Amino acid sequence: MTLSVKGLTVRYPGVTAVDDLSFDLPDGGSLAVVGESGSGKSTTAAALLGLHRGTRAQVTGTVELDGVDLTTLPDERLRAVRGRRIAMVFQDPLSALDPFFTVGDQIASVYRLHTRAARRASRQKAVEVLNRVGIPDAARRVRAHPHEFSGGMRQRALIAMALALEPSVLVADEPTSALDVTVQAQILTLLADLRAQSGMALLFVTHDLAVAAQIADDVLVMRHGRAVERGPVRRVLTAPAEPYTRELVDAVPRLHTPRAAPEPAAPRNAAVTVHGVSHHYRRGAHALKGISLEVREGETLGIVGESGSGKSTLARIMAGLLPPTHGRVAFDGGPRMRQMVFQDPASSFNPRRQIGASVAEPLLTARSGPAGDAVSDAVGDALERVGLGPEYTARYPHELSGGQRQRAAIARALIARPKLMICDEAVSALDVTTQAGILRLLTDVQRELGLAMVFVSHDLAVVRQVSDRVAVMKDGELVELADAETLFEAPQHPYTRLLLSTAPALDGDRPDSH
Amino acid sequence: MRHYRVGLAIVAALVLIALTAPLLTALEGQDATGFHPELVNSALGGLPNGALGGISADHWLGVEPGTGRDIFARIVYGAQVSLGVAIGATVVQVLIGTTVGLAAGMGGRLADGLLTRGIDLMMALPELIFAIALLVIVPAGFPRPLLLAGVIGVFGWGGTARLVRAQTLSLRTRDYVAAARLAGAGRVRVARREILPGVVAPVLTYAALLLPGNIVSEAGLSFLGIGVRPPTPSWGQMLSNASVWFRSDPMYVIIPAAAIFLAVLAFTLLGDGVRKAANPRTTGAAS
Amino acid sequence: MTRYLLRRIVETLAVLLLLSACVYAVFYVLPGDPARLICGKICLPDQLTAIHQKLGLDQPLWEQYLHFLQGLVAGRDYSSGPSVNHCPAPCLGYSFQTDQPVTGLLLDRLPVSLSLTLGAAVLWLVIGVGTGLVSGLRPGSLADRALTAVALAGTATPVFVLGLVLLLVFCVYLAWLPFPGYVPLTEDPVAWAQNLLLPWLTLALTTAVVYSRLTRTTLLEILAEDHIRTLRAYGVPERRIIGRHALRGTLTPIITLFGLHVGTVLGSTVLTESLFGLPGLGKLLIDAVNTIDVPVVVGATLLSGFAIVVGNTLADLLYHFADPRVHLT
Repeated sequence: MTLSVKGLTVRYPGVTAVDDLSFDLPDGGSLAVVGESGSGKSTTAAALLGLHRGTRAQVTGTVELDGVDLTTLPDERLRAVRGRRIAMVFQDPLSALDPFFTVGDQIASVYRLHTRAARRASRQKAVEVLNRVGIPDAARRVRAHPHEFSGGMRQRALIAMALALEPSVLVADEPTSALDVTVQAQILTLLADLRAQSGMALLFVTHDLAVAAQIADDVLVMRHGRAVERGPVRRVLTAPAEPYTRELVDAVPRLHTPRAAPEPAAPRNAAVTVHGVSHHYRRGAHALKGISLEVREGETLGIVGESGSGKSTLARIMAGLLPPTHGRVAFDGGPRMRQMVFQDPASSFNPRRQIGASVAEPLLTARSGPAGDAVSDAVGDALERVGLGPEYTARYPHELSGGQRQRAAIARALIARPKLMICDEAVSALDVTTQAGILRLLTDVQRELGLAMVFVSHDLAVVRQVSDRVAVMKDGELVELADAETLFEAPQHPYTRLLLSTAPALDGDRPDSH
Repeated sequence: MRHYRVGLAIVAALVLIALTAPLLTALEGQDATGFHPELVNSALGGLPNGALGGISADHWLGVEPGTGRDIFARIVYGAQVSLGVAIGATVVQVLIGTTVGLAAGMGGRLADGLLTRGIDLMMALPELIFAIALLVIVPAGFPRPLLLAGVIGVFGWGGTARLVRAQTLSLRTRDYVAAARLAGAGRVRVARREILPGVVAPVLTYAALLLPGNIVSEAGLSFLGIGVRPPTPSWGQMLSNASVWFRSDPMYVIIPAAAIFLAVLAFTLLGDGVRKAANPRTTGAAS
Repeated sequence: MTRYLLRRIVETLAVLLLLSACVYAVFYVLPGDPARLICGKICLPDQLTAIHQKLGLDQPLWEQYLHFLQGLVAGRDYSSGPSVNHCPAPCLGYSFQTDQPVTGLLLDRLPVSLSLTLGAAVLWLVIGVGTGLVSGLRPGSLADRALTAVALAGTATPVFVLGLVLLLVFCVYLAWLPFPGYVPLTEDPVAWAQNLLLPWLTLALTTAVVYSRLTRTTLLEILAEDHIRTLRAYGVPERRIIGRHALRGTLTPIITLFGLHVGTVLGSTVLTESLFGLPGLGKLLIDAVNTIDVPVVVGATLLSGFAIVVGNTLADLLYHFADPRVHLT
């Protein structure tokens, strides 16, 4: 047994982040720790390496690595274990490396520290491991600073740093959550390959069940700092024993499950038409190149793409927030009839205004709009419609959870009686169970009001849940546009196929496995 | 937070002293400008009679060497100049800074470019030097405290403008501003409802930290002999006079020095308290 | 890289030009008739006309400014009656009081101000960064709280208050030091340093406060960053984390601030020089202000403005070189 955790508890003043957690990780095994935000999964990962030392956290229980309890090990001896026996890879590759030193320097100096190898040998080692994690031209790249690396390359470099010391356990804390789906697939493949080659055990922390299913043999589901269920991935995901696990599994959007009730295809008028729209920012980089498409009344158009694909720029142009550099957008409707729901629930409401005042804004700016009691009635109704209730009128944004704020944002959009509603990554910042609720709400109101909706997301499975037609974007260009069924089941463009094949999916999800 | 209360208490006391200066001097039974040659020893070059610079029941903080003027009265009236000029200068800085910063942040690319360069140039001007030099060309009849507040204010708004511009630019990209625009709010309504409230808090915080600096600037100009004109008393000017006497009458140095120290300290504590209340996450002082 | 440097230089020159226009406008245009300022309270019409001619005030404004600029860049000739005086570049004109060339007056006083500033700069860097590190490495400790209190008192103590207190303590009560004067470095280095000790301390201590706070804040911020956590997770000893990684990041904003501060040489020394009676640029300026010697005031103001603009540019360049993330475009 490589790693054995017993009764691990992490308390911060006022909160217990991890509560009496026990699990084992055998030699060469792989365990995914899965949970929503606040479940204590990342705290657990950090506690394994004793990273809470010197903070206000109080750690009890034992973490045994090959029979040695790391929680009671003196600092000096723990340092010799960190990196050498148990190494860690972090979520945000942008900030995990020191910007002032070259990537090679950082790998070589950690290697030297533990092995007392010579300077030259350490440098060669850095090149060797960078090569192994698939950094092209490693001999030259070893001299680059972290900011010269892309996000995926930085994550590879961190994995290389761990690899150099050949630890028996690698702890990876959401290592792919900040990466695009195609890059994520590469990193997951790399980790699986390295595990197979070196026989190191892997503890993989993630919020994404589909990723867990892909990378790990076993899964441990956490909630509120406690273990909910543990078992082989396949069993837990197909036949969960606990109600919470079932809820979690059910909430995960499926890539190949068609939209709940497909709209009968009736020819409708276009609500908004995009004519050859291009956009470039000041520095000259093209965000959009000649996009043409239309969104019809009563339909939902999904737009998917990776970061930098221009999908959010297109959304803002369609909303009329951003004038395109070239081309034009024809919208069949007046002011306030195009509304948006944004990604970041933290910035979508003015922190200094009550929710009610922000929701009422479209009514207040209208010259012939309602006044006085009519406004507060309308706000109450709108909040009620999204499941919040009129008592939220007098609340401030910071008093609401992320999901509640997204509901309020939908209420603000609806109160203007829009013809077109644009959702820009509207559920991306939310936990999967919250996300499922918001998606249901969006589908309901869209149906009910016969809205034209544009749903922008990096997440293909989420787009599938809500869209009638789907557009795929890459580097500012529209690569494919088709109805959802065709696009997901018979994609034409190679890039669409790549996206679909790299998107993590829950077991039994793929058509070819039926 | 406790420090902030100490600051607030001292600031309140200073403001009260400045406002009730005539009353306080009447209570002591002295005035700020009357000469008392009988209280100084001309044989010793004008040193005050008695210990500690002539402190007595009649002259609570002693008398000025040479002239025998009452120091308590001059300190109390000096508080009017010191606080008045500092507050006036801060108001000028905040008004100009907020206007320019908001215009730069909300304006188009050209306006922003020009105004930002203007702010940079403003920051590049040697504030104290310019203030000193400007005082040369202003006619003698111009009311001095007003001039001082104006000069300190006009050369010190760069920081506020930079802050307001940065804050405006940052707030402009928030989703709630986009939402307000989609809700039909025009440029002015967006600026007033969505941007300005987010700018006011940091500006007030910054102003609270500007104020002690302005007290120092006024005292500095007066110390250099180009502040308020005699016989109007000011702390910096008293300190300047005292620097001639500091060997023989140290009390005359210590009293105005302590007044300046106390005032700046109190306003700094208060400003720090305001800043921490506005942004509880930061540690240490802003630079 | 080269393009960036070129752009910065052109920008700096543009700012300098603008600055000179501002200064010129303030002193030669704003007062209405500068000749009247120069002439003093009792002014005969003949004198006024003579001054007008001598300064070229009868020419159009833009021409006057061009002459002024020409003097700065290439030197200019002054004709008073039959004799022609050549004033070599950079020409700032002649003092109204002593008729000496302003450039020469400024150059005479420069060593004093430089002695004061550079000595003080070394002290404030050592004291400020040193105490900042002590505070930042042990936040909340007794030393940190003591230094925080001292720093607070320091911010509340203007140069002229601290200077007077130091004079009282060291020259009057303890009588350890003579009352400062100025002895050129070339004459007697020991006396030079001894005499400048109090002015140095005065200027350094009031400035060190800012550096101490900045160092503390930056160090604490950096120690909380993700890449420090990475180093800890890989068993790098704390001493090395601080000495090699945290310190490197802390230095960047300090270098920037230092570049800005060094530019303010003249501004920061006016009070110190005036207090200690040091015959530097600041003293020259104050004396010129009191005697309404406009060319000297303009010269000193321009010089200090130039120093700040150049300091700003240097700070910017240093920052770009110190931080590999910043692209030089």
